[in-house]
Amino acid sequence: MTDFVSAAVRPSALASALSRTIVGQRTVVEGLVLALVAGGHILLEGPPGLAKTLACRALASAVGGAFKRIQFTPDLLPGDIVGTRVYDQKTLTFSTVKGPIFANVVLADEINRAPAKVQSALLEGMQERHATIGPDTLAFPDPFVVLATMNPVDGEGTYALPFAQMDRFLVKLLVDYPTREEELTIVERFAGAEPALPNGVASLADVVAWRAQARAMHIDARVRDYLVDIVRATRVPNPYVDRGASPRAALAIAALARAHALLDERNFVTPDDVRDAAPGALRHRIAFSYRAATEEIDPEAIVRDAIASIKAP
Amino acid sequence: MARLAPHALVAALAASATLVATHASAQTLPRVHVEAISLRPDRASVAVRMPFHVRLHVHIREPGIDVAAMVILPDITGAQIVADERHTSSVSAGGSDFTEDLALVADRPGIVTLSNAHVDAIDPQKNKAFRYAAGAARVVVVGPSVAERVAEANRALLARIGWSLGVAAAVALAILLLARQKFARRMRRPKPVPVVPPLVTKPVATEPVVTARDRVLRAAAAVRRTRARGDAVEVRTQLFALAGVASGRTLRDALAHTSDVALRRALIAAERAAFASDADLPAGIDAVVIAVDELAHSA
Repeated sequence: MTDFVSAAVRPSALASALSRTIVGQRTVVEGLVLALVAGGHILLEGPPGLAKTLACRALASAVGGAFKRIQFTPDLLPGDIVGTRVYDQKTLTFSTVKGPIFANVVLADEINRAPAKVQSALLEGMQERHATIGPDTLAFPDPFVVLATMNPVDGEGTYALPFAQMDRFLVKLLVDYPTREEELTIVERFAGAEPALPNGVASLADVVAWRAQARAMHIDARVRDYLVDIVRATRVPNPYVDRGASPRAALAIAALARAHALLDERNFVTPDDVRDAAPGALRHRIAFSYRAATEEIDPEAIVRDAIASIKAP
Repeated sequence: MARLAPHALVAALAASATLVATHASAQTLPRVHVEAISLRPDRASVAVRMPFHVRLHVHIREPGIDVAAMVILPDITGAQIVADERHTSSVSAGGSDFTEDLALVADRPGIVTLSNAHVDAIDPQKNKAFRYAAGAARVVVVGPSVAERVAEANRALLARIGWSLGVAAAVALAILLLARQKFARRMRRPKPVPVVPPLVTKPVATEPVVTARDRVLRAAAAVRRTRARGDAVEVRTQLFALAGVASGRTLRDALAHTSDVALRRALIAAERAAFASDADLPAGIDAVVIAVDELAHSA
């Protein structure tokens, strides 16, 4: 499809560059680019060793932004993330030291291992896009994107993210094991050396431009109806769902669908964009019931059913 | 052996009695030596509805005598005559003989009695009229045993079932034959020639067969004329139908259903015309019209 509002670099070029570093994980790579374009934060969930951290570093490197990584641990303090004020004995004054959150791409590794007050500090910053240290309120750099990872297998000693705070993430991506062919490629490509990160594929200015283009993307009324109906379908009484997705989910789907259209080099959103965006925007916004857990119902199947229950325009 | 009806026998007996009375009254009894008269059944007991025989024999010394005219047949109670065979012989040396074999059947258990068989004649030696009578005969009629009754009931039941089955088979066969004849007639029957209406009547307009491709072309013609979003959406709907995709599915589903390059191009163009902004609509409609034209020519 044509009439893409051209920028210096297209988002598809960024996705291609990331795919050269991250073998397989096409959905994750695409999700990272979509969230970056949509201006949202990303929650990555998957077992260790699946290149989650590498993906985040590659993204930051590709757009030439500042990258910071925070390893969340139980003894972490909010000041370790946001920053603090330090007394300078030479000048006899306090100076502000910015924390690692002041970066374009922040990787919050294993976010559920830190206590609630630390999580809150991060999540508040994600929402407000600025932090207050002492008397100073400091804005985060633009673009600013947080990529938080969670490991679903080591549940002991973790602090589950509250439902309201999960809602702050635009999208939740599931990182799964690669196929056999992909794993062979990983061994061949990265057995001897550290994988090379893509450099200078796009600039921060390009990212800002993409975001502007995405916000201006046309969504037809029927497509809007479609996405709203999908979100409302999650609220239909269901024994496996305690609470459906919030209206913020509809906003998230719309933003992701716009980014998807931009990635596909179109200037209008189609029902396919919505259908592709919906699972990532819904899966962490639906509160599944205890019964779903005890009966080992796959939450992804519930999300898929809700999406499939609505006819596309 | 002739089978006599009971009333015929009664008539015959009545006639014989009348004849004897006439002879007796006229003193015209034959002057013969009646040497023997006997009445013997062939069995002492018999089953119900089983035929049995009784033989009446009269021997007269004189030859050439019409004994049959002299004999009065026995009265029969409890049985019916089903046959009567009469023999008369006259031998010059041995006298005259009369034999009558009666075949009888009893309908119910009991005793069959045969009595009063006799010959009236004048004894030539004593010159006196005598009635020479045979002794009464008795035959016991026995009913069937329980086993026989059961067997008979079974036989009757089987016969009834067989009869019913036979009737049903006959009916089925008849229906089959009728159906076959009807089918054969229908197959043989030439198709009815439609009656040509008079020329004055108006011709009936028939709806031509409309294919999915025709519907696409019609919708494209409409959007070419109106350049409206609604008609562009209709083109998209008809293209989905042409690709074999039901409504409610997406472009990706439709593309997965077809490998026709021209159709795929048209589907993508229609998606743009259906969902692009109003500013982009004219270009989208132009693209749809061109793509559908290519699709039409590719056919």
